[in-house]
Amino acid sequence: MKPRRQPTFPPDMKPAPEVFEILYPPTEDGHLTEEMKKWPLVTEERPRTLPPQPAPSEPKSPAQAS
Amino acid sequence: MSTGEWSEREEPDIAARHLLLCREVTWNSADTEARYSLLGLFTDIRPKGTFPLVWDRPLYTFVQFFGSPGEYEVWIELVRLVQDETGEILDETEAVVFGPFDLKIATPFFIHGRSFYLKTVPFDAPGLFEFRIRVAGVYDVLVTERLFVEG
Repeated sequence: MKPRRQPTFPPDMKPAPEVFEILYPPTEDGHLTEEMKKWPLVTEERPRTLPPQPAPSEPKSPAQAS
Repeated sequence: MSTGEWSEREEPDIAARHLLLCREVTWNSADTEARYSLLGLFTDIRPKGTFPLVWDRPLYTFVQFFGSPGEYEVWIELVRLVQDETGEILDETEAVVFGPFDLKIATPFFIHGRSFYLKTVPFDAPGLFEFRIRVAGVYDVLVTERLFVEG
């Protein structure tokens, strides 16, 4: 079996100084099959339901604390 | 297609790591040490709707490449990993393929960050999906990242 590549940066590497063509335009829909083009477009996420949080305790007044 | 110093007997010398998914990548040419900013990193989404569907919100992939100088052709694959009830991966769906994207590595011993904006990402069903970065002429997947799509 072919050994897996070990993607480890050599210790002397540093960020490229001259890279400008970075942000590509968005992909078009060439990756979608004809069937996929019929699927509904979804732009929203369902809200997340957080687990119930314990009620915050009332801070004690100085009189109660003493 | 140019593939750097690749020959039939030898694969291109290119590797990648740090594939991340996020909602936005910004670029600041004035900051020569930290040009990229990644906003809204995520590992799971909860589309509002029924499957199958096409996710039409910004989905950026950010990758760091390094290797020998050359011009490479990058592809991004997306598959759904079919799991049993214990989570064991049994199979995977046919890949949706984005690309090709041109990648130039001009100088050796440098790291090249790249961001790819994927628009209209199809999800046939809820579950665990995997993004894979491939380069033409390289047998192995360079780097992967998983995304859990909640139903």
